[in-house]
Order: sequence, then structure tokens, then C-alpha cells
Amino acid sequence: MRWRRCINAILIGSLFFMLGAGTGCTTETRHKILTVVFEDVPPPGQEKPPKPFIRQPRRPPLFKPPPPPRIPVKVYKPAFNTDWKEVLRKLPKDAVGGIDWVTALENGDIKPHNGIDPAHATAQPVLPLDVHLEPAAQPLFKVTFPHKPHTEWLACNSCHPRIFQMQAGADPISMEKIFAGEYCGQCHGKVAFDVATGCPQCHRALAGPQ
Amino acid sequence: MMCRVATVLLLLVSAGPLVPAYCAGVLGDITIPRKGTDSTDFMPQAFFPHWIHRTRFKCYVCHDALFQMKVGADPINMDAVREGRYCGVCHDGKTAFTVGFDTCERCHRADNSGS
Repeated sequence: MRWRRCINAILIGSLFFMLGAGTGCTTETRHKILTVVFEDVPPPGQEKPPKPFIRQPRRPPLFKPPPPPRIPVKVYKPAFNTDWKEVLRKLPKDAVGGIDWVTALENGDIKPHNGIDPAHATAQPVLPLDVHLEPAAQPLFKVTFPHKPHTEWLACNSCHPRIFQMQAGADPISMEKIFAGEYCGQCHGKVAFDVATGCPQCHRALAGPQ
Repeated sequence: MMCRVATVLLLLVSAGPLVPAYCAGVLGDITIPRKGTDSTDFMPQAFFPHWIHRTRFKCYVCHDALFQMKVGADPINMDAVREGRYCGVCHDGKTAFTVGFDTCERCHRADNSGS
């Protein structure tokens, strides 16, 4: 029975100690109680934060790992303005708001290349020839076809002989066929100025006296 | 009556965003027609802004050496473009932006407003 009393005494003692150390009345009292058993208990108000434990390597690394290989990334950066909304706003417009490509080229607003590799490309020849086509007894609807603005953009074989024969007046061109997408209508109304609103550009007499 | 007016107004307001998209279309813009069916048909059809290309190149650079004048006349597909034919002649990362998975939607786009 003696060992049980001993254990009881130890348990009760440790209970009082824990009560005193854990929930002691004041910090000074707790310090006094703790110093009975433990050493190096800092007095109240002088507690230091625990030092972080840093584990050092046992030996220096045998070799320095080489830096990862730098793969050159080719980023395509166009040398021209790619703010297309701004480009579109600055391009000259015709009477109905379409882009006036001939004026844009004349004014130098755009400098379209003559080939995919502009350094090794030559411009197609520009032909300053006006072709006059007059419907029978209808001088008001006389058409003046200027080769110059067309050859600034297009090559001879773009139109001849697939769309137009080389002889003036050889093709039965009519507005009906043009509206149906033949002859001039192969480009005009699709990528060049519209047929329905561009009358005086070809039928120059319709524009009135200049 | 009021309900009808309100419905019309609501329709006009909801159709508002569509109007600029229509107005911004430039003469010559082409949506490349799609022939047959393919596993990649979920992509929008390719859009070709003619006018942007006209500011950079003359007509005879592409016609008729690379493309026929008629829309849909050439059997353009992505394999041919990646091999460097059709669009791939220029769109190789040197003359123009390259064809890759980061540039799909520059051509394959549903919204064609603003070039």
C-alpha cells in the first residue's frame, strides 16, 4: 500500500505544480514556481523568441548544376501599324464611305508591296491608257476606263484575256451583266468600289460639268 | 399597347450590339465557305479581311499565283496552310503572324466587327 500512497502524493504534487505553473495567479508567482524545477526560465518580461533551427548541409555540393538551356523564342513583331481600326479610320473614303484605294495609293497613305519579298520584287508596268466605250447613241453613258489605276494594283493577266479581250469593244459589256458579277462586276461591288453607288466614276458625264 | 411598345424597345436595345458589327464590315471581306464536314467544324469559319491585305500588298502579289479570284475556288485547308501553301506562304512568322494554336482565332472568329 505504500507505493500507492507514493504515487498519490506524486500525482497530487504534480497536479498542484501544474495548477501553479499553468494558471498561476501572477507571472511572478509562476516564475517562482517554475524555477523550482526548471533552469533557464526567463524572468517575466524578458522572454526571447525561440531561435529558428536551421539544418546545415553536411557537405558542400559536388558540382554546381548548369543553368537550364535558354531556348531562343522567336516572337513575331510586325514592323507596321497593326491597330487596324485606326488604319481603317485614316484611309481616305469615297462618297458612300467605302475605302478610296486609288486616292490612298496616290497620297501615299499605303505603300503596298510588289511581292511577298519586297526586296526582290519589281512592280508591274503601269499603263497610262484610257479606253473609251460609248453605247450606241447614248453619249451620257460613255464609259472612260482608265488603265492607270487598274495597273497600279493589278497585272495584265489579272483581267486579260480571262475577263476582257484585248480589243476594245470586243466584249458585250452591259450593266445587267456587271450587276450579275460578270466583266467589271467580277471585282467592282466585291472588292473595288460598289457598282450601285459609283456610277460617275466610270460614266464620267453623269458627274456633271467639272 | 404599352407591352407592345416595351417589347419593340427591348428588341431594339438587344439588337444594338449587332448594328456596329454590320456597319464595320468593309467591302471585300470574305468568310471562306466551308465544304464538306470535318472534325474541326466547331471552329468558326475563316474570315479574310481583304482590305488589311490590300494595305500591305498589291493585288497581283496573291492573284492568281496563290489564290484564284473566285471565292471558294481553291481547296484551302489547314494542312496546306501549315505546309506553306495558300495563306501559309506569308503567314509563316516572318512576313506575317504564324499559323499556330495561339493564333487560331485571328482568322477563325465569329465576330468580324472591327477588321
